[in-house]
Amino acid sequence: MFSPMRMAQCTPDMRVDGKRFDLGTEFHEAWIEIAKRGRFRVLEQMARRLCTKHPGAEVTLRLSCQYLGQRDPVVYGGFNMCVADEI
Amino acid sequence: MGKQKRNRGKKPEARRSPTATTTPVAGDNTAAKRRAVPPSPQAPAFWFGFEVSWAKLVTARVVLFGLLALDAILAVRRAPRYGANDFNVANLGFLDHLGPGRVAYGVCSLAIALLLTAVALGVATRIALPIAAALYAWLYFGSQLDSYQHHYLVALVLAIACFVPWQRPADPAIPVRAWAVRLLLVQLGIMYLWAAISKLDPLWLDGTTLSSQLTGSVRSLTESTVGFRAMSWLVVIVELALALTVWIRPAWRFVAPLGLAFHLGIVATGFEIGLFAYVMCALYILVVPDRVWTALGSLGFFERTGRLARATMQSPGKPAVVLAALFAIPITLLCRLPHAVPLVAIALGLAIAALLVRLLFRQLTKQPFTAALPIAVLAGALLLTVVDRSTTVAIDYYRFWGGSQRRVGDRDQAEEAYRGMLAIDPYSEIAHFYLGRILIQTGRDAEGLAHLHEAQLEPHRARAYVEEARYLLGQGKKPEAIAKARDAVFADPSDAEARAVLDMLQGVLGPEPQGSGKPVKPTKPTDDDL
Repeated sequence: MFSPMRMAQCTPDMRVDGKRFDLGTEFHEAWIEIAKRGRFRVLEQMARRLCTKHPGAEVTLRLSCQYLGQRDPVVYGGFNMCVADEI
Repeated sequence: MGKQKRNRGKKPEARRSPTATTTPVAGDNTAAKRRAVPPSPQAPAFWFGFEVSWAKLVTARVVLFGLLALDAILAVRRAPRYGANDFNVANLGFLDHLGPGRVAYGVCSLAIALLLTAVALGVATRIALPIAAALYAWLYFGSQLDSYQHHYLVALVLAIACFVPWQRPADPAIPVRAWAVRLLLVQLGIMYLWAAISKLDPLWLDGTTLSSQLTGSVRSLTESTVGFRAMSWLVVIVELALALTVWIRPAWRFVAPLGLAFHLGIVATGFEIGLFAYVMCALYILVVPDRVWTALGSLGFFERTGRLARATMQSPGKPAVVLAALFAIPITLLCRLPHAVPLVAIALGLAIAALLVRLLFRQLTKQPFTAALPIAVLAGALLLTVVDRSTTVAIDYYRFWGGSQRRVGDRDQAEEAYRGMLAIDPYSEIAHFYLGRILIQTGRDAEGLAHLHEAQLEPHRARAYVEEARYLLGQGKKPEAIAKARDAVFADPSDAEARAVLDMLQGVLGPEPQGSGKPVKPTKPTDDDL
């Protein structure tokens, strides 16, 4: 009884001061899998965590989601999550 | 709601007046005494006049809660992901910092299993079920880690089930009035409606979504028959039909086979939704017409089983308590799941304490002495042990715990996890390999090498040899490193990393060295377990 809403494949790109951050070093892979399903709140909390761990740094989050049936991916975010904490 | 119509065709003894609460059984001369008070004229009969046979209710209780107890034990393998590196996002925002951690998730899952085992046996249902429902709700709403819609449904089912009279009535031949069962069915209808609405999407309706999900024999069957587009429409139509009818008694004779076929079809697809499809089938016990369960209940086998169960659970004999107290802990000692022994010990202690209180205040409570509580604990302990010993849930728990801690760089916890894994699976290549690496990384070379040698006993695995080759190279023992790298390639000729390490070592140290004699760094490990 799955819904088409769950059929998104997303690629989160988190950067700390411009340097790509390996999410696997900070978050359990189960959370990364959830992030790859495009769950915004989880991604926002991940960014918030990095903002706390790296005070003063710029944490940017760019999420690229490929939805079933769409040719081009949809891109979200791309800005400093320590300033605007919603994607 | 259609009560007169519904009663048509039933046996005379099953007929009742539209307002009567209970129905006398034919030939029972005490029937008049047991005729209950009619419901208030203001009470909506749709809810408060809803009756089900005891045979149906007891079958649903045993199967549904038995399955959920089993599911709770299997959930223990997911515990290590909870609280990993102190990160959590809850389904309800205010629970972000109050979500379960690894230990809490594991303990609560086992507690839910013990409580639901008791409920399945009809023991302390009014206490055990609300506690289990609250624990389940906390685990679900406290974290998005396993935030699937079916967990939400189970949380709601457990909450509503708290209001169902699961206890055996004085006379099981009389239908049980249960508004909460009606509510459960209406809830199922709402779930189907939402499932259908969410599929009213072009991507579903043109078959794209279904074709991207179905695999195996169900895919072949769909392709060779109606095709994905028609199947997608069929799913929506079935869900809509179930939404409209699952809570209406006269429709049950059609709804039960349709719904069961639908959910058994989902089982056949092999979707990774745990036992949920089976839980749905168990809920259909409430949809199968009462007369089917009544007929089955009257069969000799069911009658004998019921009598035996009642005799065991309500035994007035104290030897049954002693027996349960003596065997529950030793049985649990065979269970390798973490925290199982203390949990069963606490449950047993509480059960015996409750019995003592009941004995002491027997005159006040007027309740008979029964051995049900300790026997329910014994049954729970047996279930934990049998499920553990017949599945990989305990091994998975330690493996996932070690893996998650290793990845986030917590070597102490990872070491503890792999030692725990070796305690229950002494020949585990995974545990020996990763424990060996951690020990070498933390300066305990001799013990680490011993574990790598144990890991090398696993046939056709090269990585423990590769790891030792790297270690030897780091120690300046280059010929020994080459020999070990050769062992790695011999163990698994298809292992690219083993070949790369051997090539690198031979390139530097072989008969025709190409390099400048500079020290060579080992190749970067392919996994992220530094």
